[in-house]
Amino acid sequence: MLLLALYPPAWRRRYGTELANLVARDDGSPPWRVAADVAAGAAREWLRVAGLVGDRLTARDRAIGSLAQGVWTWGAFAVGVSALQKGQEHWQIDPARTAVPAINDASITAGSALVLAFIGIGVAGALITPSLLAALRAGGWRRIRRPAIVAAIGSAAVVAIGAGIVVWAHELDAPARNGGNPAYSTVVTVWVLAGLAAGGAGCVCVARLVGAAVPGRRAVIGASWAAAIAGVAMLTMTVGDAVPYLLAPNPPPNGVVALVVMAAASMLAVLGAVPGLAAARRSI
Amino acid sequence: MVRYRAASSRANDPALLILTSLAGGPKHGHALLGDIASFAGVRLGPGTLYGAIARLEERGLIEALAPDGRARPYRLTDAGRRTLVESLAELERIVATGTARIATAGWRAAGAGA
Repeated sequence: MLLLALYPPAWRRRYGTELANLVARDDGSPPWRVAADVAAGAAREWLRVAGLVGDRLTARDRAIGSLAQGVWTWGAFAVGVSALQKGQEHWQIDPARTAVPAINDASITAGSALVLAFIGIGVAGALITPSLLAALRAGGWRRIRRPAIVAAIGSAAVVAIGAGIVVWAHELDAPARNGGNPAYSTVVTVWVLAGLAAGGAGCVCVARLVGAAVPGRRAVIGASWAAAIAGVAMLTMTVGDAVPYLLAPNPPPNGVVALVVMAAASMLAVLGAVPGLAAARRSI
Repeated sequence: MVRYRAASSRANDPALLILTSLAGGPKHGHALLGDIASFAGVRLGPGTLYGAIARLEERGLIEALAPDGRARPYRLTDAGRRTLVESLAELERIVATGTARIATAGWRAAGAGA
């Protein structure tokens, strides 16, 4: 049965044959309902392996796993916004844009990743609230107070400056938005730095919560999967944005710098996920 | 165990249905589905059934017996029996309370309508 392949390997080895036998015995249930039930069961098992659900998880485990997911998907979200904006703007000012229609595809790629990251943030937000409150009440707040404040201030700054940039950008033409207006470029740089500060502080919070408790294996696995997914999304955006640049004559230097930053961030996210993924592979 | 008992005290909870079925003796997956359908009127999906079996076995509430052909029967452990007794006692309290309140409300409604 093909759907069995959706289950984690360890689960499949233990229960796969029995489940396949049961499915093979026609009990009159509609095939689509059986398939949906098996697929949903596989999703539940993977969520347990990832440390995101499970009756035996402590509040701290849930908080760390969900928090890590939120931080990393937030990072993917921020990079997605930047990639989308830069992709569109460089398409607008590129003199050879008729020769590089792929830049439109880059924007679409980034936009898709943006939507996925936004959904991830919503899921993480729903998962995180009760468990985070419990973990913070249990003494976690003392450990993360300073980076949490930095993350909160940084996030507020990102939102405020971002709103200002959107308003300001409507009053500028495309060349001015891409290096022609030094004041605008400075504000955009500050906006990016505030985003990096907020994301970095959020990662410090996660690291301290993981380090605060010994049973962090499930949390590390969950965080690693989230980081890997975010890293792949970021890499996709980077590659999607880089292709038209490589094809275009005389690409704008600020766009090249943005691509280097995105590539570095993507690599760091993927490298950060490797140790946890190795632990996950040993445990499933 | 408090959390688990609370989670398994819903009458349609797959774990409670499986424990109840196995209280009548060891069964494999297909027999479990048939038994549960007959006494509870609930037809569990195969993914739901084996997800619940995996959790129950992980907690030591049921255990697998030697395979019988291609099927593997399961039976209740002592811990599973205790958990089932506690869960059913909780359900009985809820049923008794609900029944008593409905009876009282019905009497009041009848009195108000008269």
